[in-house]
Amino acid sequence: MAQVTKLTRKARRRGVTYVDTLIASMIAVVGIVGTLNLVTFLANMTQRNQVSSVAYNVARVAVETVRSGGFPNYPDGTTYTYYDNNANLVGSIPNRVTKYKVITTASTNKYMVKNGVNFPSYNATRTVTVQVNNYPADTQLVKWGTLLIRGGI
Amino acid sequence: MREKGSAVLAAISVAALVSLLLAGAATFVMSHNSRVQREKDYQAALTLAEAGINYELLYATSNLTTTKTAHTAASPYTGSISGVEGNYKVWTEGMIGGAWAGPPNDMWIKSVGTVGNVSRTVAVTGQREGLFADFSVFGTKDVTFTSSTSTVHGTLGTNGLLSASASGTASIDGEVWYCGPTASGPSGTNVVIVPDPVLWPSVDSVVAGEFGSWSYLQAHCNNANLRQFKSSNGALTPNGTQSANFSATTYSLKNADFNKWNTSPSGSKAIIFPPGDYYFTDFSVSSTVTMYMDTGGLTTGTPGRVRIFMPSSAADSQDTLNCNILMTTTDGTGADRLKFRIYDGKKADISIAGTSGIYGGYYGIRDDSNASFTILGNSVINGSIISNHVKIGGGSVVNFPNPGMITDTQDMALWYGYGDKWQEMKQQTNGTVFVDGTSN
Repeated sequence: MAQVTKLTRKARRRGVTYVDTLIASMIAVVGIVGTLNLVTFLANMTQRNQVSSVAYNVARVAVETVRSGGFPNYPDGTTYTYYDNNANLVGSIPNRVTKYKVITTASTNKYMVKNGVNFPSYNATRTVTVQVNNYPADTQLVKWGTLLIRGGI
Repeated sequence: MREKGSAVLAAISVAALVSLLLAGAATFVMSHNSRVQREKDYQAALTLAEAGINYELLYATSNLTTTKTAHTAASPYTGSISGVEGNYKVWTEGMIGGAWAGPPNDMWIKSVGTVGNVSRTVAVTGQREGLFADFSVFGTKDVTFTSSTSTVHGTLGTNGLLSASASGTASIDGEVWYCGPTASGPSGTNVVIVPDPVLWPSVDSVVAGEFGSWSYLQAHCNNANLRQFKSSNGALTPNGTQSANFSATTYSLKNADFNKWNTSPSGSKAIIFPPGDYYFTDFSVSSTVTMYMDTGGLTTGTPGRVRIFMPSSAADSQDTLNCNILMTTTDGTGADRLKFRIYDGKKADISIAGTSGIYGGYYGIRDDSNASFTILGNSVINGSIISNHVKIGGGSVVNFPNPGMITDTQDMALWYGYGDKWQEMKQQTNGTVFVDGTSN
């Protein structure tokens, strides 16, 4: 009887160990998966933050470029400019390092005409929008706008 | 049992440590994300605030000849840009606080750009551009070249008709602006078609803005300051001149008046206008006399503007200045001479002729008047002529000064532009930078 009792106890202890191991493994798996997901999520968010930071700095450059050209000089219509991951200008044609596409749109509400050529009237308002997209995904990251007038800021 | 307990504790400790590190990393990343988003809005808000500034500058300009108003702190304008998140709220204030008093005063323009929860407030000065800053010649109704070949150097504009009589020819080396739907004239490569007429304030409006009323100007004019040369050792100095004993309540100047005054060193009867504001209802001067406009301040020691105002209430008699008109200067560039102004509000023609070279701005925009401003007889005007009707003939020449030389910050405003001050301010409404009540 004493041996049986000893075996039973031994067997009971072994069974508990399997369950413990199973549960511990499940917890460990859930924990590791959760941790990996969280790390991945944080890594992605960090990447998105970096993209956003570059995007709004590129947008600022685009707005100031239009402004520095002077009220009448930036052409009406839409122009495209491309930048790399470090906000360096790539040019008007994308290449393999292009990460950002800047879409600058200028429109004018009143025109003067000289020799058949339109240019902004002295009392015109020019509306400028700057949109920065991911490249090549072409999803919008930032969109800003401002107004320009003769003698304005 | 003691060993198993230790393992659990160790596992829990490791898990807690990992969790703590992850929580810290997550907090850091989330905080950075929030910061990036706010920074993005922060930059965009400034761009919108500056859009509001430009909106208000143009708004004030467009009302200069009508309501003479702009938006106030109590009634600001709120606008946005299509397709762009956020808005701007803009208003004007006077340079020393309170509401903007209207032209010709400069102004503060304050604009709040708001994107999401972020607002930025920018204040800039709005500064007037004077009436004579842009055009060599402008006729709101017409500009006519009447005889011989007359020349305009600089930009000529009209809201009406540019023409030449049968005997007149024009030589214009600058642009020719046809402003508004009724403007027309000869074509050419220098012609600019402008959609809207240029709106000019009337002389009555200029006087109302500068002095409040004609009666105030009449009562406070400097007519009594007119000077003449001394009978002996006369010279354009304080000691070489003396009072002309011209009454403060005398408002006409005719040939016969010069008989009372001494001759100039050059031998002609002469009168001297020291810097100041003068009120006259009649000019009928057509002889070999000389009028000195002492913009250089040779007789007073201080250069300044010489401005002659002629009221709209005066009788409709034609005015003539057919004599020698000389401006003085102490400035090496001659810029002092450009401080002479005639503001003619009379509903009567005025002609200037026979002068070898005069300087300054000649302004004759009058409501409901067909009066003209005429230069004849090989006159040379170095400055600007703005009037309802402008007639140029007899081989006369109008030379527009180099850019900026004729611009006088004290002239009445034709339009408003960005001045010389830009500053970012805390948000006005709740004393914080951000609309959520924080400043960091």
